[in-house]
Amino acid sequence: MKPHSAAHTALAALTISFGAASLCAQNTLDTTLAVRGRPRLAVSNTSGEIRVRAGSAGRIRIRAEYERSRVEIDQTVTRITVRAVSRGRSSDAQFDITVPPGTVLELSGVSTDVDVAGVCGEITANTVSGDVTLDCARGQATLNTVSGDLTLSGIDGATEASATSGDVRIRDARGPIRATTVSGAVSLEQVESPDIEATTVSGEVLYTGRIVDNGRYRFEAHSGDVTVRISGPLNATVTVSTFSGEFESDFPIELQPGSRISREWTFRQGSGSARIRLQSFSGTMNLRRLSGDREE
Amino acid sequence: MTAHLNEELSAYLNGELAGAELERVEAHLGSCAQCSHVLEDLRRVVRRARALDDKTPERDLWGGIASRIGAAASQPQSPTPAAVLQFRPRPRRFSFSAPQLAAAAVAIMTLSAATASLLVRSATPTATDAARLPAAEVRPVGLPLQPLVESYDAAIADLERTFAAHRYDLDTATARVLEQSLALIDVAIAQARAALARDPNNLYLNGHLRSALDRKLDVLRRAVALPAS
Repeated sequence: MKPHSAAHTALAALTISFGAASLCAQNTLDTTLAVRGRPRLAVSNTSGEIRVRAGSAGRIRIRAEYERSRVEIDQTVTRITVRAVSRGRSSDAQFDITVPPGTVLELSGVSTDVDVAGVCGEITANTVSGDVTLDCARGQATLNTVSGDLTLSGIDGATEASATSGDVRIRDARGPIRATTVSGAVSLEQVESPDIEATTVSGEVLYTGRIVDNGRYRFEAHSGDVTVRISGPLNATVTVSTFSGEFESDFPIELQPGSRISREWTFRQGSGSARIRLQSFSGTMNLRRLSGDREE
Repeated sequence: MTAHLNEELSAYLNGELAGAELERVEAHLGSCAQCSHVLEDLRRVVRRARALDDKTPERDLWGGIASRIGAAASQPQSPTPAAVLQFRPRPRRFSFSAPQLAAAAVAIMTLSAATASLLVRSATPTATDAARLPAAEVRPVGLPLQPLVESYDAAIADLERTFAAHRYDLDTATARVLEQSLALIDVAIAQARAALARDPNNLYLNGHLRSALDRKLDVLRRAVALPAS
């Protein structure tokens, strides 16, 4: 399909609306838009899926299958907006979109799964009950859901991931991380970041990765367990806090004078330059060496 | 495919369906991955809610932990490099009950009210609302926490009223997940308050209570901002 002219869109916003011939019929859409530089794409959907993959530079291809809804596309010089507008309670739209690498994505949905791979740009994704899967991001990645799970990998930038009942899983990430849920688990694996905050209420927190010198780390649960498995050397001042929980450590603990205050105590490993806070009101906290790592 | 399940999911989870209605829901669940996923989410929340306790701790294990730390700390001359101070897990002291969520909510409210009255009995009430809880008011951990807690309580009460009015605009399953998650946070708040009533100067407990209150505010703010289904 020939892309729409970029010259047209430079002068005025372009709006295309793809309606349904019949409310119950399944409709399809396949259109390609010409874009310049690093575009910004916003997609909103009520129910269904938003799937985004990296394609070639200079064009965004939008394919959709939808029923009981219509699809609207607005294009300005800097931004493309795609909306599935519901025409009934059982509306459904499946988007399959290819974008230039590095495209900035703003994705949102209600009962909508979001699946993004290979784009490697900034991203914001919000769903209510859908899962969000993200592979590769550069820059800020902000993901929110209520009852879905968040699964991220290949992140090089600041990450904020928040769920309510779902799990948050982050793998292979660099940069500051804020990961939070209420009843789900938070799992951070193969992470190398100087700034991490991972919290849950009743779920578990699992961290596997390096502790960077001068880094700041906070792992917190209320009733869940907190497990930190460290690879490489550990130069950190560790503070452990609990009310009725337990603590186990593979590292020798030598308390510093005045370092124990009621249910909170602090000890140092190596130079002590990083700060690690382990907190669980009633769960068990584990500070472990990653299997195969030798004591240093 | 027929419309997704809403009210029926909660009723199904609670075992309230029978006959043709039960067959219809089970048939739908067999063919609808989305509704099955929501059902599994609900089950998970309920399971985790049941793993939380709503009682005040009966016995404090801290003495045992502290004595073991103290024993290690009292021998600073001989900390062998390979020494590992272990706090072996022992059964949680909380005897976990599995109350119906409604009953749990009542218990949480009762416990919260009782412990909150202990916590704030000497504080001067201040009126505020959600919009008037500035970030700057969230101070570093320090005592006394009472006025701050009152500000949180007022902000939370306002947002709870907003959410109560908004919840019927939401998908029923989503509203249920939010309510159950808020109930989990309420348990955490109640337990932190109960612990603080016994140890009011504990920095960790003060920080933990504030963290739980922050969490509840955050979930409520997100909940009231959700789009209508």
